Amino acid sequence: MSDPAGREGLTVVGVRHHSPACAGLVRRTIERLRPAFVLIEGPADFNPSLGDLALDHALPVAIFSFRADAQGSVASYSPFCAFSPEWQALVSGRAAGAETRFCDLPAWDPAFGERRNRYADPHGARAEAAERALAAALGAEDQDALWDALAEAAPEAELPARLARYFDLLRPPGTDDPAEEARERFMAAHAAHALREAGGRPVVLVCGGWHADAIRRYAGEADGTRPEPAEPEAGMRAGSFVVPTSYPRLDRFSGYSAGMPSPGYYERVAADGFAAAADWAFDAISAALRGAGQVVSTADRIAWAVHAEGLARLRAHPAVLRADLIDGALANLVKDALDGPPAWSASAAVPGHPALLAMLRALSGTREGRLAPGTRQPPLVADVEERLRAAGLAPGPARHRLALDWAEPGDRPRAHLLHQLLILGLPGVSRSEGPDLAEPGLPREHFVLAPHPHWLGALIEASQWGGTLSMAATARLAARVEAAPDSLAVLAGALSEALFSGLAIEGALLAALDRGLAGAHDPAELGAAGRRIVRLHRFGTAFGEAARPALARLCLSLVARALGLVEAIADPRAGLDALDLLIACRDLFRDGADARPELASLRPPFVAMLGRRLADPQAPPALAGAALGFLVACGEAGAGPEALRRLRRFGLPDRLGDCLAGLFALAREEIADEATLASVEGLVAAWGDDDFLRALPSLRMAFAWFPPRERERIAVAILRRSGAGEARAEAEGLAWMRQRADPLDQAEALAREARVAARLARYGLT
Amino acid sequence: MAKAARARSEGEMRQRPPAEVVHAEELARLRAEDTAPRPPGWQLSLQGVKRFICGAAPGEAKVVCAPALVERAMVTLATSRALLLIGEPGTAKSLLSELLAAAISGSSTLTIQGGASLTEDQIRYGWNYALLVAEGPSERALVPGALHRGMREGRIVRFEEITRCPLEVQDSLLSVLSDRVMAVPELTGEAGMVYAREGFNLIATANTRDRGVNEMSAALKRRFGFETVFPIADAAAERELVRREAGLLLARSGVPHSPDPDVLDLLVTCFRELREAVDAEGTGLEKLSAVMSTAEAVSVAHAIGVKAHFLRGDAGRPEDLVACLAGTAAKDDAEDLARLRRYLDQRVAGRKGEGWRELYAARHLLTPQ
Repeated sequence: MSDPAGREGLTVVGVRHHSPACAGLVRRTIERLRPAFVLIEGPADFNPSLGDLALDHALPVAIFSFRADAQGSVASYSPFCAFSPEWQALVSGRAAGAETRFCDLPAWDPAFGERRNRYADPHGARAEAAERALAAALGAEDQDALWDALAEAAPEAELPARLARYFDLLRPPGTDDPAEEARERFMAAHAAHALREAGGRPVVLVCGGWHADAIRRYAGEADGTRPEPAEPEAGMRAGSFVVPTSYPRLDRFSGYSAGMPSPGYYERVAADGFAAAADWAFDAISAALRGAGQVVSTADRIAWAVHAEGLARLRAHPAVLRADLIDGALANLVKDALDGPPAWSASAAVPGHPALLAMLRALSGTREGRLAPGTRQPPLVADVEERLRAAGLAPGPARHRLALDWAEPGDRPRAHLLHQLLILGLPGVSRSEGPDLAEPGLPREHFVLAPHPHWLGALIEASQWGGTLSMAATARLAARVEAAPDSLAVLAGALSEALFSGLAIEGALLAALDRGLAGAHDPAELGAAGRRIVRLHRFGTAFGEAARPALARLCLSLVARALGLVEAIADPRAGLDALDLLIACRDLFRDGADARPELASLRPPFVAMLGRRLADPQAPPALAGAALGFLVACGEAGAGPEALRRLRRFGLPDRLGDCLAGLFALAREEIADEATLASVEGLVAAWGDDDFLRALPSLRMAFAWFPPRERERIAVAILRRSGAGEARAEAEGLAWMRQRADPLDQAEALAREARVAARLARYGLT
Repeated sequence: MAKAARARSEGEMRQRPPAEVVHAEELARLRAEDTAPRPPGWQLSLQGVKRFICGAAPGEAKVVCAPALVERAMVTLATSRALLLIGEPGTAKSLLSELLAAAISGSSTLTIQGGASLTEDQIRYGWNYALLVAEGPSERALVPGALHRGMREGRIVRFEEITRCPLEVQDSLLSVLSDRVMAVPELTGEAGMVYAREGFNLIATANTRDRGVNEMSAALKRRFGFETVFPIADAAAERELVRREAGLLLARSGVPHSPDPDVLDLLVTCFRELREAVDAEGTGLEKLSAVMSTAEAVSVAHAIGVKAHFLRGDAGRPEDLVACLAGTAAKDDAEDLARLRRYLDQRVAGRKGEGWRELYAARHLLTPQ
């Protein structure tokens, strides 16, 4: 069966990736022809390592290819499961004694582009229109249903003709696809070369059906020299390794773009046929829905089975296919209105109902791939394992918790190592406790290390970032900064992670942060980043002698910017947003006694500026409160009667809450004494009920700055002052703290009751 | 054929003839040509019903919805369960149920209109009280309700807005749907038990804006297959549908020309943007609480055509659209009017094209009606 359009002896089998029917066709073709060469669409640079794929892996696995240079790194996958045509070509080719080769461009080749999945179907608008028209004509709902009816359920003898017709419709014979031409010519050149080598024996080439016709044509034009993949450009790291993958990742509803639908289901189709696969699907979906607490009664299952069978007959399917199954489930198991059109086709992002999502998850199966021992691995794997062993952290069979104290000289490098693993996002490593808010002294941290099934796969994939752990972690951080060069949060986060990981601080990162701080306009963003930086600064020398001056310089920029920004804040909302910023500055001025002299020289203007804001009648109450708190906390103003006098100026219902929020945020410890509380109580007591309800949300926000234990203490104090006995005050205070109903709801109820009473009074009904 | 023609001419006199009258010829032809096996009691095979509803070619569909929905609905009706069509108001649920009933049973008139005042007698059976008093309970004195007739004659019964009925009335369907039998305890002998003939089934509709199906008892839910009907996804299909339906309504109202295509275009675009709360560039909009359904668009197009023809003698102008939008959108929420005003002020303002400019210029007409 040589192709008429191409060269004598060459058989191009155009397939749909991940199609069980195509896998069968490939196997039968190779068994019949017993070719000298089997060429497969796959990365040609992997050919020297083809032995890796012949090992005894548990499928699914993927070839993971990456290229990385100074600009960043790009990864792509060529996934295989047992019923992939490409995998069948490898297995049957080896069994038939043929030489198997990958014949597609390496992933680093510029012509390969940015695609994530080598086996994603290339499609243009024209092909989609053709597919839609075909689906409409054949009465199929979407392209997956169309493909099932057309190819998966086709009798073996009819399959090649149907495939040819289908692919001709998608891409008319004789047309070129500029986006794919380089790949197609490369595969065709491989075919021509193999033909010359084969000495008259047949050659089989397995590729996506989209390319088949073009490859046949181009093979006729190729001269038969062996095409060599271009070497990666200088300075580019590139590699291809086998990684384990899993069915959920392959499924296009949860995995990467243009995967395949329901791999778990199609595995059964490939192994046992549609009837057995349908039985499996009935069980899997029922179990999934029942597991989620949904009722799937026996009567439901009977109705569902009958419905699916009815749909299959109506649609003239030879067996119950996937679309019949899910349609039947939709009609019989979902007793709700859907939020969106039900969708399990490629184009849909989300199915219209949680039950549908659960069904699709059930059909995708849970199979996890595993690599055979001895599979070639990238240097990063060895590097990480060696470092973990050297640090005494080699993952054992069980999870273990690890407490690290930065004051211990031995713990610091171990913390660095674990932080670097965290940067790479490796599964099984997590930081369960560690400093989050400002605290003086050296950090103490807790980590959890646990064996994770995806550990190795993730580690191999992380090798796209570098060959050693520190290199990979540095590159990963750089990529994160690259992606959001203007975000203070990302920059400050990267700085923090770099310091905790013991990585060298890049000058560019510091410069970007410095620029970001100096140009910040949003007090909330500046405040969040500022608190982080001040916290790092307060750890002192934990991060090494070099980090200290750099952090001090950043703190200086922060204060300089805060000086200008806080002066200009006029909007009440922005006043609340500025609290974090003022807290950062407070920490710096209050505790940073050892800081550089430049900081000390900024203190007088900063204090003067806050004094002006406090005296300014137009200043947002939160900002004025915070200014007062700052001055008290830093010892520039007294906490006693003078502060209370200032506070009374904000005694109106729409101002007090915000003002207290600012005050408590900055000087909770210094100012929250009996006198302050009594003064606040006095102010509140003067309001009417309406006023109180209006002020309640902001008052609650203000007292949220107190930890629960202190709030309870305040409650007891209030009760005591209102005349309750000691024991009663304790008990009621506890009850206040343990309220089930949201106080705001209670307030709403009170307000409504008041309205009802007022209305009743109006009609004389009281 | 003569019968069909007579039926049609009678139909032309009626304000809104039922589907089996409007499509009498097509149904007769389909029945004659249909060779596929038919479920017991059905006048057409499933393929025939699908062809009737979805048309033989794309663009001939009588109701714009996913073919798979029609397939699932038919299979539900052909197996043991009743069908519940659920969706926003104006998504052609009732039309779909009418077409299904007309195709399957040849008549769509056994209809129960759900409502708060519906009682069990109205759906099962009642009595002619004069006869009842004179003769005692007898078959002659019994006044069969739609459900009684549907069971006895083996026809599809339609239950509109089922969720608007009191729950106890809904639950009176339970025994009928599971045992397919209705007891008439007043009568003795065979007449005391009405067994459903083959071909009997129930199509209910419910809209999500009213009480929804949440209050429906689990026992009753179990006896229904649910199908959600969605607004038309394809803009061109919706425009075409509005054009066709509004044209028919206008012709019936004595307006000789079809709606102005530019105004229609504006109308459908506005409705789609307000319904999906996304404009053509993909920017989010405020969502109206009013239902901007296709059916509503048809009636707005109809209203514009009638107003323009009889009051001014033209085919409609964008400013008419503004006035009608106010009536449609501000039905149950005054805030909708403000949202609509912001839509006109902010979104329509910068758009190119004569129609959009006129629409914008007429925004002052947006007043409560």
